[in-house]
Amino acid sequence: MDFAYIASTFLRVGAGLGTTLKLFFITILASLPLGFLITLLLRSGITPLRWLAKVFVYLMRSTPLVLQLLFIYFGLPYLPGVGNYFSTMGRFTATIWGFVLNYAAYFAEIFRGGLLAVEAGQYEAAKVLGLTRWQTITRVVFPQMLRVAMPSISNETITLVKDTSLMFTLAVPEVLQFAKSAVSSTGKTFPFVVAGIIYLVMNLAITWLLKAAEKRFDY
Amino acid sequence: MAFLEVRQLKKSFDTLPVLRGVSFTVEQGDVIAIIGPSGSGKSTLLRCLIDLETVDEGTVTIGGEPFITNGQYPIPRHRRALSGRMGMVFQSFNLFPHMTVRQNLIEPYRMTTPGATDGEEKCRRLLEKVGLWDKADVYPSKLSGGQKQRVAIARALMKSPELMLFDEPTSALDPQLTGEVLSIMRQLAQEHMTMLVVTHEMSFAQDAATQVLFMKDGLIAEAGPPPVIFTRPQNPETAAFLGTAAR
Repeated sequence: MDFAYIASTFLRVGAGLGTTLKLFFITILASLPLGFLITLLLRSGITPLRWLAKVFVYLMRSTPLVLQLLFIYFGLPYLPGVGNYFSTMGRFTATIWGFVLNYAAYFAEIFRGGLLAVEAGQYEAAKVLGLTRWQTITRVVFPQMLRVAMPSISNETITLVKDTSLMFTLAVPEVLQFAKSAVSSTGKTFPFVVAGIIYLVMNLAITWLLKAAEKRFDY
Repeated sequence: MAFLEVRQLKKSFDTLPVLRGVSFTVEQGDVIAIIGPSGSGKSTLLRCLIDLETVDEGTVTIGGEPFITNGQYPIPRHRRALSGRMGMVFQSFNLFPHMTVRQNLIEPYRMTTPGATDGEEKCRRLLEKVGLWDKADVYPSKLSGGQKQRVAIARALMKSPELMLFDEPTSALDPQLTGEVLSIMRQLAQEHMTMLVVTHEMSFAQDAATQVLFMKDGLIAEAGPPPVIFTRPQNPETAAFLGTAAR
């Protein structure tokens, strides 16, 4: 195994890195705010909204992500009435929808736990000081909730890096897909090692970033 | 004219009546101590006045303006403006743990008073007043209970309230820490801050209050100046309570 082979394998497998990172960042950026919105719905005083959110979280957390991806890409186009809207959806788009909705459900539960840690007295202090509901949520509740939720968010983020390989299900070319095809065409298993190293390096960077972020919330 | 007028205030939690027709008046500069056994409705009364609880019946005017009229509230903006003329200090401090002492004072002030430029100066003056200017950049978790409560008082004073409500401000403190909080409150009383203080500190009620209200079972059982309440109470229940409290 010479250097040229190692380098070329990294290049070959790394060709999927762009797609992997794209899915990772879109999912994080979209599912965190969506998750918080669902948390607010879970606590809504309007019963139908609360139930809708509960059913959504239940469905997303209780079925495999792979099944959800398959359903979105292959199943939705057959839905009566609205199916046509989904028939032209690409594989990557379908993957993004699946990931964002799935992770939003998990983040919603994490945020819900974080909100329980914010004492009633905080809302009362905010009210008697004259803060609006929005100011109370964004300036008083959110930062405190985030501190409690941060370790769980970190955990999910690391899981997400690994879960990006589930794009495999819809044959979207990403790191694992390229590794598999390299293994098939060369008969060597080294490309799998390369894929493993790529995930390890990504998670090393993310772990380091999240630790720094957690420190910022230390008070 | 009285700053605060409360007439026949009633409030129940589900079927349990907590306030059963409370009436009293607060004049500018009054320091009113509210004493009484646990569950007599003292805290609920304060919480109703600053709109943390919604009353069932009764009338409250603040600075001559109707805040509650026969159990009915004005439009939200008006309602908030009126309760906003009061400040409140809680038993459990309720400082914002993610903000430094300075931010605890300045951030809410900035949020509620857009365009105000005197935040820094006011913050410094108030922290000096409560003796904690040197802790301005410290997080609340690094403070003792007494220090936290002094910050909470300074924070409530930022918006220059016309009436300060204190809900058992020393009840969560170790005995050796109550003194520093009470002395700040005594100082405010001397500066003629209008105050309504729910307290178990009989010495404070006796020597700092201008008026004492004794509450029992959701009613004001007796009201009067401290010398009368403490030395010759007219109501046997007041005497019984003070006898127990003194022991």
